[in-house]
Amino acid sequence: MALKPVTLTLNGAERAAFTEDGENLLEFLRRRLGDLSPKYGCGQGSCGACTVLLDGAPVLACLTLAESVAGRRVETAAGLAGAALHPLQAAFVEGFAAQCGYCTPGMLMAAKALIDANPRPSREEVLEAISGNLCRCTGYEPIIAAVMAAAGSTERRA
Amino acid sequence: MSYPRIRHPEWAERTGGTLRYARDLFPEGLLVGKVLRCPHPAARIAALDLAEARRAPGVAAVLAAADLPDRAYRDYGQLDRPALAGGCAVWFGQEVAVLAAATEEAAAAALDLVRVEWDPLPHAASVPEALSPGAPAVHPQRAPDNVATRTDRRFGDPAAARAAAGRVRRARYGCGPQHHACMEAHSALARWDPATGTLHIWTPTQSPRNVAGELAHMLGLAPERVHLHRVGVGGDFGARVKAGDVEVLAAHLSMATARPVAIRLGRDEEFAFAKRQHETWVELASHFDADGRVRFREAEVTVDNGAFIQGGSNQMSYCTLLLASQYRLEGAEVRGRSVYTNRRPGGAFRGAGGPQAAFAIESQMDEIAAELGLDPIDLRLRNLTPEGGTTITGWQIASSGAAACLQEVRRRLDWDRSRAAGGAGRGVGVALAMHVSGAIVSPPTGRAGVAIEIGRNGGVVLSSGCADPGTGEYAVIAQLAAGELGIAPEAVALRVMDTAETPFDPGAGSSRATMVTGGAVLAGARAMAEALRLQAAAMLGVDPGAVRLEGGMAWAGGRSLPLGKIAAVHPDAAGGTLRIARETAVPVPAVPMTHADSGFGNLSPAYAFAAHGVEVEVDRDTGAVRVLRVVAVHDAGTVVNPAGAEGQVTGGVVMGLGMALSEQLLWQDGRPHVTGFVDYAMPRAADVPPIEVVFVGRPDPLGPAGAKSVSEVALMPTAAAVANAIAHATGIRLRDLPMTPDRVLAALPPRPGVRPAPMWRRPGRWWAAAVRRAYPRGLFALLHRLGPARPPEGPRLPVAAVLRPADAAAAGRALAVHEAAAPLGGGTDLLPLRARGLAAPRVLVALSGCADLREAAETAGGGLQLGAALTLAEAEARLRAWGRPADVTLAEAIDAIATPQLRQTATLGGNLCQANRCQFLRSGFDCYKRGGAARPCYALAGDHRYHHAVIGGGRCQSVTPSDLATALAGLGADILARGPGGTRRIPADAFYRGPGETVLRDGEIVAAIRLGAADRDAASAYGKFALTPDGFAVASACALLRLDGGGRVGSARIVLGGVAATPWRARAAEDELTGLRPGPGTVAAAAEAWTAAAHPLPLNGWKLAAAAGLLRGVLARALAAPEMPPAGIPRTPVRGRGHAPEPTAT
Repeated sequence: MALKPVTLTLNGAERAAFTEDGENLLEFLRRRLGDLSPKYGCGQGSCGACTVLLDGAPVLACLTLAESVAGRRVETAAGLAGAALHPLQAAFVEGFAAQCGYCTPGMLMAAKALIDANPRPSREEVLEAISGNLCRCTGYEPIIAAVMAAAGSTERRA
Repeated sequence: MSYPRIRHPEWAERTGGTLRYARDLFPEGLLVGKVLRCPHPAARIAALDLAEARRAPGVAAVLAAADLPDRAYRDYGQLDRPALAGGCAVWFGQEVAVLAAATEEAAAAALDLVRVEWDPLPHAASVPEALSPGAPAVHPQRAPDNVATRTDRRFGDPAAARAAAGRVRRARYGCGPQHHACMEAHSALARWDPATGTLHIWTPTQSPRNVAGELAHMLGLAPERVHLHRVGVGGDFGARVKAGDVEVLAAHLSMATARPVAIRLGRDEEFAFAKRQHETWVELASHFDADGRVRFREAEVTVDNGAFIQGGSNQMSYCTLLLASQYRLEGAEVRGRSVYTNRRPGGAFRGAGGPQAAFAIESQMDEIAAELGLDPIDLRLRNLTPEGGTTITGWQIASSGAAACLQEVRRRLDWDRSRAAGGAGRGVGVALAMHVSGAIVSPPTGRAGVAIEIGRNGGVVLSSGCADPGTGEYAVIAQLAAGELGIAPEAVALRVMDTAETPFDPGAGSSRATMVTGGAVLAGARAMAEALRLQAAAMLGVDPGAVRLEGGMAWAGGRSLPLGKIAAVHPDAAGGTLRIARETAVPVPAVPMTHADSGFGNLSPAYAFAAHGVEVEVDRDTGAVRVLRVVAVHDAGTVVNPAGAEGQVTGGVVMGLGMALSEQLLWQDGRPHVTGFVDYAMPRAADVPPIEVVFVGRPDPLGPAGAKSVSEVALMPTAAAVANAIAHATGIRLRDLPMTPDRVLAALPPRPGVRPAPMWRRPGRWWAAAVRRAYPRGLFALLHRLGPARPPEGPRLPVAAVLRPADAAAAGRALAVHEAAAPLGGGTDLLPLRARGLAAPRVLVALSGCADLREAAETAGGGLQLGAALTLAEAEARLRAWGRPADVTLAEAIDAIATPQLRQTATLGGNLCQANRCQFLRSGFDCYKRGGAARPCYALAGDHRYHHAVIGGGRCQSVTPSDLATALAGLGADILARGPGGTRRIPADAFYRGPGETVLRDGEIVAAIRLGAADRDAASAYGKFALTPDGFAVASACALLRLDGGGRVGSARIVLGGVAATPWRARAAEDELTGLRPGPGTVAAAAEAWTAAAHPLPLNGWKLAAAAGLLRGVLARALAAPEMPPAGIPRTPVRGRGHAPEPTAT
């Protein structure tokens, strides 16, 4: 099978690698680009553990064909922190919003898509934004609180 | 002392995406391991031929039972489980052979080459079957009657206690199995090192030594020859507290090939073949007196082991003990049996019998309170074992915050007022739970080791054999050590989990981590602190009592020394490092708790308590229960790690809500058909109410620093609290979990208007009725056994090409030219179908680049047209921007589809064309729809409560899953199809010919959807009823009404989804409304009128009431939504099509 070169911007840096037609973005990121932060949770598009941002929008890497991201901008949890932690990461740390940590990279990216577009989300908007991401450990409340805190929300925590 | 909130020691890795889990490791030369499984609930392996698979390209090893040592897993001492099935396999999915190959594809291809001749055996795929007279035995030698283990225990003075009671309440409580659903599916990477004879293993577990020890036993290695390495642990909840199936198999493959081998289960395999919770039934009778004192309890606990015992016997044993221990009883008789069935074996699960006991006890306490007219909290307070008391089972309750927990729930829930105001669908409920802080059933379960090192530079390294699967255990041990040493917890470096580098640890399980491991850490840290103080005193020339450790220094009389300096010169220091190791045991003797033991004795050093209070709202129309708030009050003694403890409680509450309301695993004759998160209704963020977590405990005398357990008890009271709140809200008592809408509606009085017409008046359905009657009487069995099986698929070919045409015409040409080409919208259905072998396109023609399929425009006449390749998110945004009444209705329908991520990707056209969502089909059953006319419909014979038709079902009972389809049909939209012959317009309600089957012709694709001007302005509404916010509709409804000036309904268009094979026009409902000025009575009658046409299956008749209830709400909303023609566009009573260019008809 023919390998196709794909060039993309991953976390701000231009990257290139070969892909095979039919390969999904999750495998491409993990195996060909070595970014292990997006996780395999279900491969069926229903858990959100592989959420990455594609041109700023949250998508599931397991259901995205790698060749379709050519020339586009991909962001993953591995690129969130700069010199300091991203406010979402800081809030997750302080609020113990990452327990086993496996859903965390996807959860962070879903939350980032929200607060990039809507810097002061309501609790309802936070619930909606992360409703595609399953977590078995936290019961969501610490995550919801962390996203609200990161967004500087003044809405009272329940 | 009190402990601060700290950052978890792995905070940087866990939030930076850099924590490495077993799945993230790809060593050089890695082979992929895959498992061949039994495709029958029970079968003899008549012949097994591995030769062809062994010769296949890329294959390094293929192993069957004959290649492995003849050993059985120890598990909890039962030795009934082999690594691979030998003569017979006894559950659907049992491991029969395993192979390692260079790539995923090579491994999958080789698996198809293993030749097995199966001789299916009679089987008992459920507990009722297994216990019926003459049932086939799962293990004839071991348990001819299928009862694997029994227990029969008496405590206190049963006769006197029974005699003193006078009243009795008796019922059966059932807890369906939950799935652990760790976000990281099972995964094991093994590497055999022949040079040292050591097996290295990387696998998630909260009990490293259990897993390593089991591996050593199964492989015939000395324990120290198995080296389990530290990795991230993506959840456990009991699933990995003992070895699963894949660790040993990966190890054997690595030993056979001398290469690293990883077996990584896919999510569908995890659901179908990994451990689950044991389904449990509790027959409980509480004998009480007129004052509400419960004096005697008798119980029989029945546990479904599945085909091997694993944790089943433990679950039975602890459940019976807890039934006799909670509350101040005077006597108890508790029996239990764990039963073999031909089903996937269960495993330990958070609470191990505790949640099931709590559900039974606490449901019954409310029933007693109701019988006596007592307040449920008062009744509980009357029956508590006092602090310092001993239960009839011998549990010494040195500290108890039970009363404080209940009182705090009373206060926070405004209990007295809420109870008085309850009913009419709203209510509050409470439940109490108690649980061990580590069941000390043998000496090793109460023992743990620790080592602490302080180097010359002051660095502190804490070594513990524990692992942290998300519970915060690493934070707990860091805090306990830091507290004694007077340093910041962040200054403690952890050496954990790795069995070669750390001292013995029993692992987490039965809530022992803080008590046992934490106890050892505390003792070790105290010894280290004492050594430092003594040494510092000598160096400073002061009395040791005057030395205090703080801020990394030893202080005395204003002078100070850094800890590293003190340690370096300590007489026991070596090379400048002082190391102190301790192994401690909890100060209670072990109480053997296997089924054969009396069970009497103080099982744990301390007991934790929790009371959960909930407020619920029950939707009388659909049976859906919404939890509005939860108050979770815990007595965990001293809270060592506040952030972690809160997290354990919120996580436990939400897992408890799943247990209470939605999570269920289902089987059809031993074969699972819940094999993905789509069908396993696990709570999502939007399901979760505000949860208040409160800690009220005081330090426990035996707990380390006064701490008790929290992680398992957090799950225990929630389900009963919800059941009690439902009873308060509605008067109905539900005793089977989960309390799904079908069960709620079944318990409520039926609605008289919801009634299918009698069958004798419907000759058109006689044939279907006859087939349905014949199904359980042999027809199903005949088709299942004798219907020609689908021929083997052969190797699954990879995608050959993805084409990206620039416009629809080019897409059409690509589809015409290539064989096995399929149009690709967002891929959200096609790609998972492909991964499961349910679709096999070789050429994908991606439509997302077709500019003409992505246009969104209002037409000159006021209609709208949306290109089929627009994503759902794009379409919704556009519709909301336009904002006409039907636009908004359509936008709401789109918003109710799936999850935000899927709406970003899925397209309008793809949504309309998605295949049906039958669990049986998607779980790989070789059914009518997949395998052809002579195959059975498994839904007809199986659990079809949610996603199958209630109207007009034929050979396939499934429904069209697209919510968009319901909305478009309801709004009178058209679908434009483009194909080789040109473009044609298809009314949305004529777009399907069967479940998920469209009328599109070969080479045709959906080009656009179109809504006429008049329809956009009519009054409309849409509603959806699903089991989870992201789920597929159990029922959906869309109504479009044209009202005349006087509020009369001029015409109505009402469509239901999820009730029939295709979106279903409810003409009876339309007729009921047309020409009337509808009031509530008319609306209700219309919403129910259509049910006369229904022909539900045995288990899905409840959907009629639910769909009618949904429709009633939709009609009411449509009537309340006035038509709003924007200025300049004349309202026209006749349906117009606007002035957009007419498409070419074909």
